[in-house]
Amino acid sequence: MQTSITEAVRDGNTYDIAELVQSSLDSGAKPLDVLKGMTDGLDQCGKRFEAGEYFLPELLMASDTFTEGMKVLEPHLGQASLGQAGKVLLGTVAGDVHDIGKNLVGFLLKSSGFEVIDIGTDNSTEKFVQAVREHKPDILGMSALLTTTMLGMGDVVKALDKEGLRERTKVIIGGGPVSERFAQQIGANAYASDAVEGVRKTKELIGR
Amino acid sequence: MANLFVTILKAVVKGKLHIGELTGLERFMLAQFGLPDRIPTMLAATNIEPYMLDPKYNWKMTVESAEANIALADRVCERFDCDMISVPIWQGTMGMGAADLGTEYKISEERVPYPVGYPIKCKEDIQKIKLPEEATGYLKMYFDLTKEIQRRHPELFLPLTLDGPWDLAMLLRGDDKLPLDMRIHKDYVETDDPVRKEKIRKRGDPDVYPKIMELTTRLAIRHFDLAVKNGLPLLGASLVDQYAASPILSRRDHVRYVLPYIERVWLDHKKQLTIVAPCTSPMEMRKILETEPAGINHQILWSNYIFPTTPEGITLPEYDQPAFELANENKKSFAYIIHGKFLRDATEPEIEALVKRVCTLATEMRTSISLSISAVPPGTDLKKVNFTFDLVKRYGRY
Repeated sequence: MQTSITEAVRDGNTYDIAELVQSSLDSGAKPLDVLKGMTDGLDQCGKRFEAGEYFLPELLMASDTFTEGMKVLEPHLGQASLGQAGKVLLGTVAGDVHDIGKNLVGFLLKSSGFEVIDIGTDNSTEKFVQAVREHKPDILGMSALLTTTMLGMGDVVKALDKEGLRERTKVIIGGGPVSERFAQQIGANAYASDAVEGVRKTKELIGR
Repeated sequence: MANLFVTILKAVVKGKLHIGELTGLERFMLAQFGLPDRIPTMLAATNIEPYMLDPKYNWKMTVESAEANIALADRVCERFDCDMISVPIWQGTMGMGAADLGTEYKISEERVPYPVGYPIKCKEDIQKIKLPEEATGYLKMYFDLTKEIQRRHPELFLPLTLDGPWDLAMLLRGDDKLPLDMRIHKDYVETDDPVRKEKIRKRGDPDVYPKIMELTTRLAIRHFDLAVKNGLPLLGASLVDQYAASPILSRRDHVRYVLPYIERVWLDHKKQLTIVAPCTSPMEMRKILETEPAGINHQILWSNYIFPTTPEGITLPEYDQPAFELANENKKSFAYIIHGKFLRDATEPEIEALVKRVCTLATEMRTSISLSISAVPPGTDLKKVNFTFDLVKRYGRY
């Protein structure tokens, strides 16, 4: 049954997942084992994306399938939770609503066991600072697609420094116009050229 | 533009007989058919922030005023010494037609306008969108600007570029919804099991995707019709579906669920349009050429537009040779694009090393390429643009 659940999440079978999870629980499977089956499915989907076998519709559908499965599973989980690998806060900077890349990073991080807090698109410097203060993430990931909006990343790094929030939270940046050198210039801890590298760098920064 | 055929003929004669210096337009034209005197250079002007070109201007002004765009196009022509300048119009995607059909854009002085609200929220919304009888609003402004800037700068080639069915659908439906619509439709049509079909219908509506694509296909056809009606030629015109490619869409899905719609636009316009379809490597490019329906000319396949880059922002050097070999085999000109972020960060010796490497390889392999600069970000010293183009003049002689 776990294999079926893993395959269902991996392949985005959102149509059957609720039934599969319920029937697995009914047959006596431990909720944490079911959860592992589902996260394994996300992980496999992420790996297929990395390998160029899966694309955006597959990732969106796997994510949708995971959410549908969790609706059935969550009441049975008790204190068990996801996110033991670390906590990552994600968002695009002010003026930028291009979130495909950010969403891909979020998906791959979740599938690697991170708790992901996604504050969405077009976030002001103040909103980033407030979210970092509130959620206390290990990593802040910011993305920008537009050449105009990437400058906002430097403002956020400066503001975090000013507020004394850099001790706890490391900053990783990505997106089309961003580069390694730009990351160094604004004082970010790392730069990732794509979603897969984003996950790898996040793990490195967290020391996993 | 009306004399484009004459220009091409003149370029070929001048190039073959080595009579006089080629103009930028002639050099670029000649590169499509063979080797000119040297590698042509091109600048994607629309990505340079208005204020970087002239502090008097900002994005809000360029969206609202045709005169601001014309003035900035003049600045670009005065300032940069290149053979071609592409799309010297500062409107973002607002001129592609969706803004006139209900897509809501955020317009500010600091940022290129971007969509924040989409008119197709459910299936019923699709039929509310009517095909335009005439070009109006931002679409008309885009047509008028293209004509006027071409008139003022006849030495430039300003090919018409319009969005294809998929990219229009992304602008009307949203990039978080359309890929899911496509997937639900795909799951539905690819199963014969009636029970499964019923389950799929319970989770989503498989008819939304084809209805949206039907609308945007007819819309794309109409937009090109209206361009012609407004005096713009289809020669050199491009249909762009840049989001219907990896990593957003697989090639299989592109061929099954997007290409049939693109082909309708292409056939409706008597196969005159160039279909722009990005791909991620020369290896993928080769595969596409072997599997795509014959006849469609994939212009942007002949560039490193979305090839992976090094941390410094340049295309992986190991892709250059196979890309140039493929261009030679297919007698195509390859557009080598330098991303502006490399220009921003790199020192002059680093820029020289890149240009020298690419130009030397192209001239040794006798590959027709052009060298373009795109997406110039804030913080870039614009002197580096002409510095780069001067290096092409030095190292890019065939």
